[in-house]
Amino acid sequence: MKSLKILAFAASLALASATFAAGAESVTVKVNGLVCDFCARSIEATMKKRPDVSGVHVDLDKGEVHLRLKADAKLDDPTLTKLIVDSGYAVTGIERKPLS
Amino acid sequence: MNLSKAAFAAIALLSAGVGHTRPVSWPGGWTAIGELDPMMGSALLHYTPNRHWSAGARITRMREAEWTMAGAQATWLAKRWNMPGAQANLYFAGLAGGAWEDGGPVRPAGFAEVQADWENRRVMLMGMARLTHADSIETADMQMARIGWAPYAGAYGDVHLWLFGQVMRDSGSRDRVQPALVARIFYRTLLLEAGLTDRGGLILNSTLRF
Repeated sequence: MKSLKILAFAASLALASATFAAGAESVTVKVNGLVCDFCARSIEATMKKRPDVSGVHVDLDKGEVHLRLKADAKLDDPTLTKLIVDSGYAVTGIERKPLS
Repeated sequence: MNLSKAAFAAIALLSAGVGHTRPVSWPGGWTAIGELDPMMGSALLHYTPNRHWSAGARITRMREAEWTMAGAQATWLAKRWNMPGAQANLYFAGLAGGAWEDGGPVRPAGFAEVQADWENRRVMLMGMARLTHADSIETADMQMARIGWAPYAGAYGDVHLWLFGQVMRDSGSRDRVQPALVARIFYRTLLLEAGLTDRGGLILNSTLRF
């Protein structure tokens, strides 16, 4: 009986983990005008206000913004584009990948 | 704004320095800018409500001419060109307030300014012109041009270094043309500049965004 309970608990943990992993996303935003670290802080400041963004990184060499979205994130492409534009940049593409 | 950020901003202002950097921040962001050169010292604190505007308060001390101007300043990002690997900007700014000579009455004063810049990861060009009027005290025009070079293209989060050659002309300073060399370092949201004019005059600039 005890083994059965442990098994059930482990199964529920695995299921919860799988659900989270399936929902969380990695997003790459390709951006024009991204040349200056000091100015690109605007993107980090804007994204950190979003509760559904768990991580922000800017790649100045590639002109890309990398975001980690939480499993329950509701940050769609039009909203994301508006946030980047409001930060002072032009969006040329958005790629989304599920986090494994 | 919490206390530590306010203290940081005060330090940035007191340490002086114009940023000669982007005068509009991110929406909801504050910026403290200080400038010091042989002709004047200035401090500006502004708030950016949206990506096109900033508004704040500036006080400027004309060190050579010995008068002071203070007022409200608005800056408009009229146009930004975002290109692959480069960015350019056109700004207009204006100040309305008062000016006074030491011990004298306060007179209406203000300035109008235009600024443009272009930069990629390693090269920066910047130019500006300002017309200042302080009723019965002085009317002066100033122009400045800068060319900058980054010895290395730092990654996001690195300490960045830029070296500038600068030429400034100010009719309020006997039309003197002042060449200068300026070094800029910045890390995250703090930017500092130090330079020397051809006559050995000190330039100290700082910008803090928060």
